[in-house]
Amino acid sequence: MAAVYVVADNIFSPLGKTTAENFSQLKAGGSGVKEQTDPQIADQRFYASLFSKTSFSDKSAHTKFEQLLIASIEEALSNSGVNPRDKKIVLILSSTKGNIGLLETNSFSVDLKKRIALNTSATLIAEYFGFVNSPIVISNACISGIMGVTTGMRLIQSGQYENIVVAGADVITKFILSGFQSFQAISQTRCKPFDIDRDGINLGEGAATMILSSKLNNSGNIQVTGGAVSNDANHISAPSRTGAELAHAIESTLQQANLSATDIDFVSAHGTATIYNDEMEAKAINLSNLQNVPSNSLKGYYGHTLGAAGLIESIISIQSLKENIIIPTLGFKAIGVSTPINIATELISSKKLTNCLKTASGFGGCNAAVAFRKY
Amino acid sequence: MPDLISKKYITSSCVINHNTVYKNGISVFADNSPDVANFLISVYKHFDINYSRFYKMDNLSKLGWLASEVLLKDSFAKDRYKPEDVGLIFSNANASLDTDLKYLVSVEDIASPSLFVYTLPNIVTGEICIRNNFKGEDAFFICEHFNAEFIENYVSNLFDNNLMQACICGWIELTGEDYKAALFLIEKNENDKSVSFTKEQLNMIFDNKEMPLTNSPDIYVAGIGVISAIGNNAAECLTAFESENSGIGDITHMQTIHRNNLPVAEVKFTNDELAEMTGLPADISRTTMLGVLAAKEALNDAAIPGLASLRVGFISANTVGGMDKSEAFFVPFLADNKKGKLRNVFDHECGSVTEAIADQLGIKDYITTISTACSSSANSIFYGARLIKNGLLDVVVAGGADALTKFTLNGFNTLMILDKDFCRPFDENRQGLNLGEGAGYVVLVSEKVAQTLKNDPYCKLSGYNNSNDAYHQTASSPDGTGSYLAMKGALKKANLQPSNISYINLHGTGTPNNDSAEGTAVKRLFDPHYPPVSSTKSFTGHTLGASGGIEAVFSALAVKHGFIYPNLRFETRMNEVPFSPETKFQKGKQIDHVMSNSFGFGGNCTSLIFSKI
Repeated sequence: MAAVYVVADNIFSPLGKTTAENFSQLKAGGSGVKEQTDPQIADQRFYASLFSKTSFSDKSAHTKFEQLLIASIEEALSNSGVNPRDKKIVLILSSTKGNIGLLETNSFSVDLKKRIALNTSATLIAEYFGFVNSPIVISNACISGIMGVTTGMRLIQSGQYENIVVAGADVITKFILSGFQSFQAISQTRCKPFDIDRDGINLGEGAATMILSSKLNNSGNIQVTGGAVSNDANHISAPSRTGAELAHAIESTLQQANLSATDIDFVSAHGTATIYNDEMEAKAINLSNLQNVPSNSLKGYYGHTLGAAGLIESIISIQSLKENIIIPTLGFKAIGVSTPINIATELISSKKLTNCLKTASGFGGCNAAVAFRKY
Repeated sequence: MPDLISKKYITSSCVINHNTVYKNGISVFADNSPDVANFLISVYKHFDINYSRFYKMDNLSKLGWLASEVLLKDSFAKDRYKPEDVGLIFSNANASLDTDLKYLVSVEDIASPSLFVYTLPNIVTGEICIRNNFKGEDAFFICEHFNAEFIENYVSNLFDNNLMQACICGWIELTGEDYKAALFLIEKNENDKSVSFTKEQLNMIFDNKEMPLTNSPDIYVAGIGVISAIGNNAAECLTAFESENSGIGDITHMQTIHRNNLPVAEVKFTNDELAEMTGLPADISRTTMLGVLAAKEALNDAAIPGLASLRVGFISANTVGGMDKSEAFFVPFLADNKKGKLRNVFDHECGSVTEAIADQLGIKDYITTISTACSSSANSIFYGARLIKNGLLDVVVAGGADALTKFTLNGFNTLMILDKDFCRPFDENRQGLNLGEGAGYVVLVSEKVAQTLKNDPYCKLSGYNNSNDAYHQTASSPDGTGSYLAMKGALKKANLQPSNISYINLHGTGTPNNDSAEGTAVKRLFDPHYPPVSSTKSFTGHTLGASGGIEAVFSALAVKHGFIYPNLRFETRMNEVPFSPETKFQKGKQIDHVMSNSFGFGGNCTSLIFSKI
């Protein structure tokens, strides 16, 4: 089967406009999650990682969501040597709620219905860069980002495309924050993944882009070696009681990558910092025999960036492979899951890193895993 | 091991829109609910589903969930798969917009968590996974329009990489009152309703167009063999048709108290004569000897080059087995239970007859017996075709045999459906049937084998269907439900319209009940354009387990040579139908498609369609 290389990437977040800027912020312990005051989003103050309001133009034909994606894709493409106008390239867009904010500020009409459809955003962005193939849009809750990578990997493996631009983004609005608040799922402070005192998530904004290719360029020998998705078949908004289904996705991913658990140098977990997600994930990591492998959650730096999360965290993981540095779990103090796992608490730069695993789980009972390798 | 890419099939489909639910292209429920919310509840109630979670779902999830219920019902062998091998790949244009709008309204007051969770389109896949314990990959894609090419490529890739063994895929869109669900079940095994998994088929089903079966391999009739009261081979039977000589007459061979009382259609040989012709011992069942003669004729007629190197099956039907010999055993045994030749009951059961015939033919690869009353041998042909279609066999000798026995004659007599005179199928004054005996086989071959034949095949077997009347053990329903469904299903399988049928070889037993039900079913399906019809049972009598095979032979000859057979002794049209059977032998007709009906006790109804090549 054709090898799939990661030839360029970008993270566009409140912490920085490039992968390099983001990674150096993380190494320095910088976090985008702060107390926010924005009456358009919530009456009360809340913790989240948000862009400053002046970052985006109101005059543009593109919405904030689209501007974010364009900025991220543009920067990634500029480093890639990949031409978006080629015949064998396609854009994959991952998002959970896209332009949902438009519903809050406009009255509903047929035109608005078309404008907020994710496919409209994807088409506008594809047109902006001159992609000739119709974009593929994934909206699969919080695994959307990883699923974009897995889908891209398969489309290259099957020979359908030579290059794939996978981009993901979400913008935090009243719609999204109020929903998570109604679930009592929002932490009153910065979130504490896997910690004994964890009390919920922070939301975050961001975009990220990963360019996959069947051809290796000079940007650093990273391959996507496997990816899989599973469903809990248990509950639409609560995770599996056993973690067996996420473990199955991990197992399938490792099998595709021809790896065993001992080959994995670190795990970038979903780690949303809700009681139930982290508990389930720890069980799955144990079932997969990865409990001794260093694991981190990056939600303390970015908050939960929803459709972008899997991509942002995959790209940080790739950067970790390249620099042989495992990023610690910001906000974590003492293990608070019933089946302990090895949470990275300090920056680890003591060994050469080769293989990493990225996981995510989402509403609807979905789970995903993807594996990256440095050659 | 080579990396084999297996074929994939759409084994079931469900489309819901415009207040109508379609399963496999057929409307299974419709009403005039005033809005989509009420319609979805009507569907739920109609299918008598008990799943309280349904009422908690948003409309998008209800729609998708109901479509999956209809899709899977009676169409999915869940136990065949591990939970993680079944996945869902869905798509739509507007994600969860319908619930997004409702949720936003709630935010003005108190944000509703139970609405918020449904503001993700993939929750519907979660609902279906929970219901069915599916744990494989699930994905939700957003596209402006249903993209069959994307679905085909994406799902095929998952199958080819062994990431999925079964997949529910398709489109679920619902915003306000605009909605459409189109779900497809994709599996690696085909069934009689399946079509190839291609973007063309997906689009056809999505658009509610009739499903053509262009990708299904053709099955050819390469040889025929028959023995009946009107002749000992196909040529003799044709001579009898042409001269309109019925084979029905007084009982001459069978030892019975009904001699000179009930007419039957006997094969004109004694058991000793049959034994000499077949080279079998005279104490073997008459059913076996009749079967050997007809099946050998069929195999010789097909003259398949290199038969020994092909995978050959023998699917034979009968209803009485070796009953004639059991009766011979029974007379001395009844007088003294130390008497009676045990050799006579050795071949009592139906399968024994098939095995004995297969031995004479030298067929070893696959042998089985079908016994479904009077549709038995039509079902043998149906099953044989499927074995070839699925690539399990190259050649199948299919049909059936039955000899006259006291058991059957007395049994039918007690049912009071025997005519004391010669039977008059489809006549207003018909009184019942005459029993007959014989055997009839066709040699079915794959397209590949057909290309190697020295002689042109007779025809293709293009359609077949088996449906149940679900009415009564021995009586047909007044409106001929089973017959209607069988004929309609065979037409659909053959991708034909009723107007394409050139001739119907009716089941036409001559009983008041059968002919009335069958006639009504023909009327329902064909009105107002009736093809020529006739019952050849007016020549051969009702040969029970052999009748479908014998009439398949007659149908194949009709297609090849443009024949229409007469329906003897017809005088008065039945009151309930506006058509009459043909009464004269006709040749040189343009015959493109012949439908052959065989309906049996137990409500077991089968129609076959033979088509010109």
